[in-house]
Amino acid sequence: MHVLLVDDEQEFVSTLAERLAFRGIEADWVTDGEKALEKIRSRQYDVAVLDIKMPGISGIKLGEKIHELNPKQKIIFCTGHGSSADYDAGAAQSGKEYYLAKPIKIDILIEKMKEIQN
Amino acid sequence: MNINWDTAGPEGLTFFGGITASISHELNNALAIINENSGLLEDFVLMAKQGMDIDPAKLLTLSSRISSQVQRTETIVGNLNRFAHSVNSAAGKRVNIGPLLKLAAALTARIVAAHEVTVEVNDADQEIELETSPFLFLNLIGRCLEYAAPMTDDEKKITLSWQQRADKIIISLAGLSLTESCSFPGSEGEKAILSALGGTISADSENHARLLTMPAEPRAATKQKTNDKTTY
Repeated sequence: MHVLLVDDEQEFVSTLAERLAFRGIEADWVTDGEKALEKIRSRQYDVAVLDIKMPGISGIKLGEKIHELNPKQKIIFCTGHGSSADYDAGAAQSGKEYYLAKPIKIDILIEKMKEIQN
Repeated sequence: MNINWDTAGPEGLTFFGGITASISHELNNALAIINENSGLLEDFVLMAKQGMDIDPAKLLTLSSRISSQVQRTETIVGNLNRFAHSVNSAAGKRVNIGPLLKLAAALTARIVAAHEVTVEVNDADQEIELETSPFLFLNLIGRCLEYAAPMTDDEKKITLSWQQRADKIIISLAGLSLTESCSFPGSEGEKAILSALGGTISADSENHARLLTMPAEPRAATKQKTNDKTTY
């Protein structure tokens, strides 16, 4: 599996990529929406994992732009929302089924990645 | 007008909620980094158990990253605590304006970052004390920064500075493109806060700034100050 990770917290996204690599998942990472679009234009990813709250292009907006480029791109959204109340409100607003709260449990992320692929 | 923490009405509570939600988001981001680094440490331990050589320098780097995020978290929690205590002396107290502006900038950092904007507080400015309601003052500066964020020039940086001129304290938000009209204060709550603190907003075209001018001495209604020794 080859995935793209997008989050403005570089230390988070680079470390997550390293951990995924240990589990046999190749992960490219970038820290903003513009770079993410460049990556999406340059190659095919099985799954894109997008942080919702980022400076500039938000994750939700980025998801829409990615789908303009590739309507079939599978996307998982993640967020630092602080509680289940925040999480529920965010999920409802985004209308996204694949939505994970930070801190992310890596096994659950991988499970979601496999689920969304199928 | 009698100043208290509820002078802004429901909008004051909305501001409090918005800031605390933003801070919880910031805390979760720091926790997420700690979680990934501790997870990677666990991965290395498992690899070591399987006989793989692990570079101690790599382990030290991960440990150092965790410490750094713990420090970040301590700073965020400290700011949250100071913000929470800002309602303690709503009727007014003497505060040093610099630290209070720094707190306002820290509390709204993530909100203005949505516009790719940063806030710098000018440390070189003189130490000035002001008698004010800390909660309403933070509320006012926070709202000004939120309004200013989409109005910045190409540098995308708002510089907060302050000075005293006669009986006025002038707080400058510089780095703004003044081609856009300023709609602050817009809501009833914003007007109530500005009025309660005796403030006015004006433009400084020469320095590309908006100026918030406030009385250096409290108005009659604000003179019920407390002896709260909290520092900002």
